[in-house]
Amino acid sequence: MSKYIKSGLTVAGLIIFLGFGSVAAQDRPAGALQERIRRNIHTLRLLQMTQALDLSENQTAAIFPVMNRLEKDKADLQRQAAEAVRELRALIREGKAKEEALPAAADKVTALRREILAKDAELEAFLEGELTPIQRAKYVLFSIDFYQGLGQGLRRARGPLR
Amino acid sequence: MNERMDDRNDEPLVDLACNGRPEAFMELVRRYRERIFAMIYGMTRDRSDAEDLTQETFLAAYRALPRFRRTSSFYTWVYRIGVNTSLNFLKKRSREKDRADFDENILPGDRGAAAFPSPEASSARGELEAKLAEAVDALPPLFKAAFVLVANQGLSHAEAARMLGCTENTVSWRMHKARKLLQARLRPFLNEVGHEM
Amino acid sequence: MRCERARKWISDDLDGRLAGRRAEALARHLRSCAACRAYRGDLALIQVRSQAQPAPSLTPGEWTRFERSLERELGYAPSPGRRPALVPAVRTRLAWVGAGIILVGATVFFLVKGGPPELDPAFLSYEGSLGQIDREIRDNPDLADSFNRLVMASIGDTIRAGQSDLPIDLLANPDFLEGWAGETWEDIHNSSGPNAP
Repeated sequence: MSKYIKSGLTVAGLIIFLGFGSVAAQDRPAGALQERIRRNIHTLRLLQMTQALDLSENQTAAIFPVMNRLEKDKADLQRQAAEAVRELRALIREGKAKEEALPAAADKVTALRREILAKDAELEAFLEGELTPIQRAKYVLFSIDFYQGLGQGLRRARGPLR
Repeated sequence: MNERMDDRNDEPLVDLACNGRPEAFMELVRRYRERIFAMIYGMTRDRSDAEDLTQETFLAAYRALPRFRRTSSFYTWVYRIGVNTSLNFLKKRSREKDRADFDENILPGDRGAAAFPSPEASSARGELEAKLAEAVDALPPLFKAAFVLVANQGLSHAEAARMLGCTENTVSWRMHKARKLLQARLRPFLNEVGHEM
Repeated sequence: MRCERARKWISDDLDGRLAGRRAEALARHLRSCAACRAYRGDLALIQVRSQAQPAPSLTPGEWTRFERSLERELGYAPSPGRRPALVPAVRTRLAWVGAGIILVGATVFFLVKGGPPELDPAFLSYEGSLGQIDREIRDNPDLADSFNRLVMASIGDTIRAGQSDLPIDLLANPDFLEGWAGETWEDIHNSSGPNAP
């Protein structure tokens, strides 16, 4: 099947999905929206990375599952870290009454932060084995562009006076 | 012992290993494999078991790297993992095997003449060491672990307590119990060799 | 002093844990108790013999097999015939250095030429960027919603812009779709409507 026919089917599939995807918007808790935003950023990253690095089918087959897994792992860790930070703040507010519990609570937050950073490091190490030298160089530039793009998007969403 | 326990020049390798560089971790393995193996062999007295458990120890360490908080040196941390791995193995082995319980109140001679063979004078020294190895191997796991770490590996009670996750007092009592059992079992052979102190 | 207590202190003394009054009391007891003197002698001999029992060494070939086995368990395969380098291979290193030079050069170029604004320090890493976003949108649902619409619009734009370039049918790739819940499609639909930013 030619590349262009495939692409045409892709667009058609997208249009069909868009039609079926109309579900009435419901109120969702703030945490759920934050998690959706995180997943959507991850999706955008996969898409743009595929294009920027010109990934082959084999490469995406190898890379996508790993990136998806790591992203899920990090999302879990973020949830745990948010809970641990809440607990730590509560302990600090209680002051001397809960002083004994502070070191363990602080250690828990630190450990979770390290685990999250370790996931990013795991991805970098994995990509080093999957990408060509040119792709690795492009990945460095893509990463900077992507992160800065998120910052620009946030500024746009804030509006001119915020 | 303190010097061995405080190897701090591993930081760059540990950083690399924590950042997903397995070759850095393998370099750390090469640095400490003999010492870890020696300790585990002291526990198991079986070369094949010691090899397997040494590998298990380093695998466990690699998986636990994200949780390594660096409050001790990397070597001390892996050593502790090795101690726990060995102890779990010993406990499992003692549950699976039938072992004659050490009864502190019964001297070997009380079990009858067949319980222990008479020591041969000509190779008393070598035989003592063989019998010592057997006797240490027959100790209950927790006593054995304390004895190997302190008497064989040269750890202080404080260091052994950190490795075993108990108090110094507990290590002290376990050493006392272990020695009492060993002395009771080895008495015939100790008399042949004579005291060197 | 009773012999049972003395024997506990003998064990502590062998490990260097007895001092002061206890050491004096033990010395007094030993002067008058032959049985405890003999006991101490036995323990000292056991101690010396335990220290003299080294672990067997593995040959270099055995250690190599050990390493290979561990590497297999770690899912790591260094290049055959040589010990893998701890620093990236020259070719890889040059690629990263090249990328860094390009990045630094571009930054310097734009700074000198007054081109695009300097890099926002809050958005230099993935987790750093997500953290910044999270902090801003946490208590601001309107901002969260606007930002989410922008992300979804970007997804749509990227798909449409890349439809002739994408080498694969992304929608048919289950690993890509894994992260796309039904709500994501809803977002794309909403972001394409009249209220889309």
